[in-house]
Amino acid sequence: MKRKLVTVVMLALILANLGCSDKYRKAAEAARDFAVAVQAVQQAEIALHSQGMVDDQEHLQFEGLLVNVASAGKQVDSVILQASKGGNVEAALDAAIQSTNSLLQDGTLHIKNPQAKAQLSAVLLGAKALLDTIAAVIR
Amino acid sequence: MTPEQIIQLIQLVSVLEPPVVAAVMALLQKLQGKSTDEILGEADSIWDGVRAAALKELGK
Repeated sequence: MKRKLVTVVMLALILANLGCSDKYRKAAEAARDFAVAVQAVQQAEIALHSQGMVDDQEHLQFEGLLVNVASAGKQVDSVILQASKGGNVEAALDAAIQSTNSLLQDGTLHIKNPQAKAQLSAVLLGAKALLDTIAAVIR
Repeated sequence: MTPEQIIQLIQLVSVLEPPVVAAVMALLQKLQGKSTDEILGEADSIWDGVRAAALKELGK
């Protein structure tokens, strides 16, 4: 009887934890997809610059911004990791997502070529949607 | 409780109900795939790549 009880308790624990770890894994996957999306934006911008659709000044601004986005992205990763270990990270998550989001919003402000701007904005929009997914999953 | 801790717990009590525990372990390991830590490690590596490429473009 005691053995059965231990087994049932153990199964309940496992099932409860599966739901929880699944939540953080989904957030981690969204964070990885977000990094991939930003990397795609960077490659697109470098290509547009080499085609002359983004001028040197805009290119330097954009790449400078990406240095900061990379730091903010790693901060998001770190927050998800802390959350998966049971940490209370709501405020840190909000701060990391907000700073990443605002960096991305500034990304295309200085780009004058409408075609290049539209192209980069579209990819950035996809990246921002992934940030929303992370926030929704963690909360 | 992390999946790794659960696996350890299952191993500790596996003497009690070996067939059930074996089935649960197999299911858990199948469901686990890459751990959250591993996925976040991949994301961090991508960010390192983005940063390195940006610094290269900036000539730093």
